Amino acid sequence: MKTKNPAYFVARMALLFALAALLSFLEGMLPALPLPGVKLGLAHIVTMYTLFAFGIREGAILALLRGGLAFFTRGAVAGLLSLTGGVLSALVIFCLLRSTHCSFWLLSVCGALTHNLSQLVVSMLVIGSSVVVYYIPILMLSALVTGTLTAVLLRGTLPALSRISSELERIEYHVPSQREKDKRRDRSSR
Amino acid sequence: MNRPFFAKRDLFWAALVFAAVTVVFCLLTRQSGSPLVAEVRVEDRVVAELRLTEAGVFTDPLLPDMVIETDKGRVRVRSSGCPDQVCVHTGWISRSGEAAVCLPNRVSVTVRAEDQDRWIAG
Repeated sequence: MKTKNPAYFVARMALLFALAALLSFLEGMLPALPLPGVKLGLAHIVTMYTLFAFGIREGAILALLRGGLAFFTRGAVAGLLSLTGGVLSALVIFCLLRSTHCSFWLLSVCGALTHNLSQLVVSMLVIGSSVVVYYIPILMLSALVTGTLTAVLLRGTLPALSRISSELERIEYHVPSQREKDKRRDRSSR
Repeated sequence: MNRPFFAKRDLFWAALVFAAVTVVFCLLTRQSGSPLVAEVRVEDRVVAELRLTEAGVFTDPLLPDMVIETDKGRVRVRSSGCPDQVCVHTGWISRSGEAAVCLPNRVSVTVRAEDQDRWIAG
C-alpha cells in the first residue's frame, strides 16, 4: 500500500478511527460494572494494531481523534481522560515496541496500566484532591485483566486486520499461514 | 522479527503487579474501631463531615444537584446532575479509604474512622 499519498493516509486514519469508535460504542452497550474507570477497553485493539502496523504518528492521531470523540459525546472531563490515557499509553506501547523484545501480552498490559494510571493522575488534578488514590489497586488489577483480553482479541483478529496494511509482516508480527500452522502442529506432536 | 505472544518472563511481571497491588491496598485501608465519618469535599476543601450512624440525607448549595445519603456505617451519592453518573454508580461505600468521586462537580465523598485525621494510615 502506498504510504506517501496523503489521500491514503486520511482514508486509513478514517478507517481505523471508525473501527475504534464502533468498538467503543459496542462496549458502551454492555452492562457496566459500578466501579469507575473499569472498562473493557476494546478499542485498544485498534490502537495497538495501529502502532504495530503504522507507527507512532498514526497512533497519536488516533488517540487524538478518540479523545475528540469522547469530548463531543461524553463531555469535557471524559474527553480529557480519554485523550491523556490514549496518548500516554500509545507512547509507552510504541517505546516498548521499538526498544524491547517483550511479548504481545506485556505490551498490551503495559498499555492498559499506563492508560489507567495516567487517567488516575488526571482525575487527581481535575478534582484537586488525592482521594482517588484509593482506586489504584482496582485499576491495576483491571489493567491486568483488560490487557490480557486485548492481547488475546488482537491476536485473534490480526489476520483480518492485516488486510488494512500489508506492512504488518515487515514490522512486527508474523501472521502464520495455514501451512505454517499445520507444520507447527506436526512438529509439536512429534 | 518475531514477537512471542506470551513469555515465561511475563509471569514475573504479573507477580510484580500483584505484589504492588497488595502493598498499595494494605497501605490504603486500615480498619479502626471508632465510628465512621464521611468527609464531603469540594475541590479538596472539606465541606462537611457526616457521621455514619443513622439514615439521613445531605445537600448543600455548594454541591449543585447532588444528594448524599447516609445510613448506619455507609454512605452514598444518591443522585447527581453530572453527565457521567459515575459517582452515583459507585453505590454504597463503607470501608475506611473508600471514596465516591464526582469529577465534573469536583466533589468527593470519602470514608474514614473518626479518630484518624486522614483517610490514609500513617
